[in-house]
Amino acid sequence: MMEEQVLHILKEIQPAYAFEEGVDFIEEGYLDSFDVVTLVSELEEQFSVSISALDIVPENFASVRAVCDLIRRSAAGPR
Amino acid sequence: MLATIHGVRIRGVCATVPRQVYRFEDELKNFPFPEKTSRRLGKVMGFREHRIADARTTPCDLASYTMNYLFHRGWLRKDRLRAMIVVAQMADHPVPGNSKVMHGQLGLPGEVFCTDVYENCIGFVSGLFTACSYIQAGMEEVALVTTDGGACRANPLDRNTYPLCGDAAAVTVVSRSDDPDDVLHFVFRNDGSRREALMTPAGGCRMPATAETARMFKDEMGNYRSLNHMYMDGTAVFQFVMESVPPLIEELCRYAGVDRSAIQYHLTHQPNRFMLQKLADLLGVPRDILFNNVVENFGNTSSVTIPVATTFNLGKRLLNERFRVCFSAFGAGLSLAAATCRLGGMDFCDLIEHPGNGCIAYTESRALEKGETQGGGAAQPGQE
Repeated sequence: MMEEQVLHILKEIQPAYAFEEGVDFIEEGYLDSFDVVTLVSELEEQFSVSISALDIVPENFASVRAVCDLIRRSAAGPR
Repeated sequence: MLATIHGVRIRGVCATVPRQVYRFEDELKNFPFPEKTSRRLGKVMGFREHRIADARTTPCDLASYTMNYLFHRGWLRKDRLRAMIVVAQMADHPVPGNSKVMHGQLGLPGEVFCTDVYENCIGFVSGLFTACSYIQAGMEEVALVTTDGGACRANPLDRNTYPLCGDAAAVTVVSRSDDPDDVLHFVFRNDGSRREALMTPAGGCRMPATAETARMFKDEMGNYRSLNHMYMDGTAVFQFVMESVPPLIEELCRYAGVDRSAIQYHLTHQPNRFMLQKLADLLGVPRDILFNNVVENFGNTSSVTIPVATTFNLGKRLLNERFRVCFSAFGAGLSLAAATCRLGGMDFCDLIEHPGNGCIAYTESRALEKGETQGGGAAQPGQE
């Protein structure tokens, strides 16, 4: 469920890319730093979490799984 | 580097923004991205409107207009002024420097010491340290001029930098004080190994601007730019700020003997709203004491953002009240700077509009008040 919602948000931000393919979104250039800013804002709004600035690093946005892990960690409390 | 300077006060601040307002909503069509995604990014970053000077108005014109406003009001006197420090990253001419151009424009006495400091986003704090050092050296009063024409270096097709850019100038008057509470503490840090994270590659001696460097290309982010335009690695800059600024402020407070919770306002450089909100959260301070509204109303004006944030948000309150503040700035270099002092009891703290067309003589122009530009109520080009 969370994975599907994250995938939907990613496609809204960058409709041109197939985020299901399992590549590294940052390495492959699917997401740039400004897309990450938009993504963080959407995640915070849709999942009612606060993502720490220290967690806004490329590896946390490299895959759908990494993003979901970030949401779960952020929901658990501030870093 | 850590430093303390006693017996110096900020007697007043006046910032000037161009009257010309440009709205992000009108610029959306210029960017190589769907308007919907740009609009969403703009909401997060605070892209709403920015002020850009017309082609005939230079950084020196904006600054000289501000100086003339202060002379006109009687808040600054040519016969009391001992030095004028001009901090900028853009010059009216390669030779002579901006301070000499302004000396001529303003008709200042020959004994006024005029000097230029080339600085970027930390320019206000660097300039303030320089001005305070002059007071400590025996001068009575120094005008610290910060001015920026950053918008002219940005590319109107680059959605990631252009909506941020703005032009402005400010004059901060720094004077000798006998009040033992008038003490400024400073801290500066640099990491030149990361200088390529925020850089305009061409236009200097290492890579002179040519027809080749002016050629536009599509970068890895999908934006159009040339080597003559400013490049920013947003991820690297963001990480640098988040990793470095909180410990910098902690170090400054420890050095100054000030409890961090005693800081009533954080007057911070204004890169974008998102970064400042995250920085406030990381520092553990309420978002409303670390202002983040300059980009959405005026744009990022490099070394002038702190005077704009001060005059726009605190304005007249600084005439009668005093606050423990922390100035902090970060940017190209990559570099960091912060200072803390008691700010207030000023003679003036104004934000005014420049009429355009290269004007330097003060003409009656209205002062801007907080709330006036928010919510779409900004001045229109040509409006009095």
